Amino acid sequence: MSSSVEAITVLSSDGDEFKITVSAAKLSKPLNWMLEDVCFSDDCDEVPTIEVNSKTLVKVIEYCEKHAPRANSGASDSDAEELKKWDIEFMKMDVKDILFHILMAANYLHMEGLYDLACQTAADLMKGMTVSQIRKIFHIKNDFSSEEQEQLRRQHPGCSFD
Amino acid sequence: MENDTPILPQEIITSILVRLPVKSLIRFLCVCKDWKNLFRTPSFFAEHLHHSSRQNSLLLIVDSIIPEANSRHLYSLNREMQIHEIQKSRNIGHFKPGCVYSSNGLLCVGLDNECPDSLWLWNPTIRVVRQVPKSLNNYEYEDFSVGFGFSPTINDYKIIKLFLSGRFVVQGEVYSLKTGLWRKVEVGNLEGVYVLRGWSAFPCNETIFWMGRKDVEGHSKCRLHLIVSFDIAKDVFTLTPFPVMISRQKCCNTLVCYEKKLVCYENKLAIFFPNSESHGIDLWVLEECGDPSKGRWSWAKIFSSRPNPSSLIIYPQIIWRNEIVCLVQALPEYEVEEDYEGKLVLGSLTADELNIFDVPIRSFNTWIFDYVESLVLLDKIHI
Repeated sequence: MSSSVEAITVLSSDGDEFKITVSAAKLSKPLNWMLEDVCFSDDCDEVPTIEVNSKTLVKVIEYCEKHAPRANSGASDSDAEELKKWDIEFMKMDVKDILFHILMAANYLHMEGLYDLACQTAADLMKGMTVSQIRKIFHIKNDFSSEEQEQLRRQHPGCSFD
Repeated sequence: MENDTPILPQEIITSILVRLPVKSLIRFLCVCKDWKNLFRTPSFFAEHLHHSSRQNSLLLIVDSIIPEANSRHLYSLNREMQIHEIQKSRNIGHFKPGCVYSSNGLLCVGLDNECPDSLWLWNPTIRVVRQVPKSLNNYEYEDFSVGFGFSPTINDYKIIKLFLSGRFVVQGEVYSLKTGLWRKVEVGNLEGVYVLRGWSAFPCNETIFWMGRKDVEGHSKCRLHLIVSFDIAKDVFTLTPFPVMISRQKCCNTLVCYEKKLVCYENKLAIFFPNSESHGIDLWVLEECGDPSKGRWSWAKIFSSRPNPSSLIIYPQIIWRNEIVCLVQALPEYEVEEDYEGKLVLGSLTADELNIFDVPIRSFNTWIFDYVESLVLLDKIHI
């Protein structure tokens, strides 16, 4: 790996170019391996593609850039606290619309921190949803017969079919 | 995330679902058959428990008998110190005094109106109850001591029964929730050991602990204080001596008089002990020793409280969220500024101060456990 560059350019699945600093890219295992394997110097014209759409990639890069200083140097408790608050705000923003895309990107890019955060955010959102809303967002069909529904209801008064 | 969400791979869906509270999972049982079946697999229980215990550790309070109701009430307390009463399930009547054990979302209880060796497993969160089958043999021994715990390694809950004759351990049986069977267990190395009456066995880090004693040969009055431990995954007993300092100290003094208490501190066995010199509470932790020449285990004192106020008797119960949960009794001959009676008191392990919470505790005949909501036993009912 060349140490001459501080940032690399990557392509999204939509074909847009994005800059990401080397230290931020290291948060992802596959990107880190790529940095080790491929020569990234100024005269190198190879631009790797990340199979994540532009809208999602912007958010993923934003997360990486914010978390990179802490991941690389270790941080004090106050930094960790601040980062936690930032995470909450980050997930509050327009992320909801693309939460599932972020989950898939974090999974694909092996980013444990972002994956945990996105899973927890999705779980917290689901708590307030009805069963019909859950089926819709997960593309699930109700495959219970009416007898089976009745039986489940009897066993678990807490379950709901609405 | 309303429209046009991508179809997530099952692996990601499972990662989200294990982070949901039990109440939501029960509500979502009827989303589809795949989910219903997933929620009932032991690997899902285990993964869910792992998240639940990290994020949502509760305190379970089994309150004393209320004379008019003649029944014990069950409360849970969350990190915001909100109290929820837990409804009893069918079949669960009055608990036998001292016969409630809690481990990883499951309770093992003995009931008042039943024969002594009858036990029930109960998940109060999903309100599922299961009777434990009778032990293998009808022992004629006068008494037995029950222990209950969970091992993530084998993903199984076990009940251990030590049969006692003259308080000495003579035989042991272990019940596994996975197999649903009792099995005899080797107690050869417990010869001459007796476990103390009235001490509930205590589970911590895949092990069940009892306080015990053993007579030293040739010294009729000299007794060795021991910790008897049972490895839940391996079904093996081990004996560990008490800390030397503790063994030498007297158990009581006039101001602070409560008994030793086994607790779990950072996943290690620890023991609260009254310090007769400082009039405070000491916390000793059992550590695996780096130096094998000194034996495998060593004890380290990691905390000493300030002297207790002379007007109070403090009974440390468990460590929860890095705080010592105590029951406090005011001595009648003193004027007390704060009203501690009938309240739960939390003492900080670091700041050394007591905080009082208005939790309905009616007497010292109250049991306090740490608790997590879990799905265990959901697979044991036919749905």
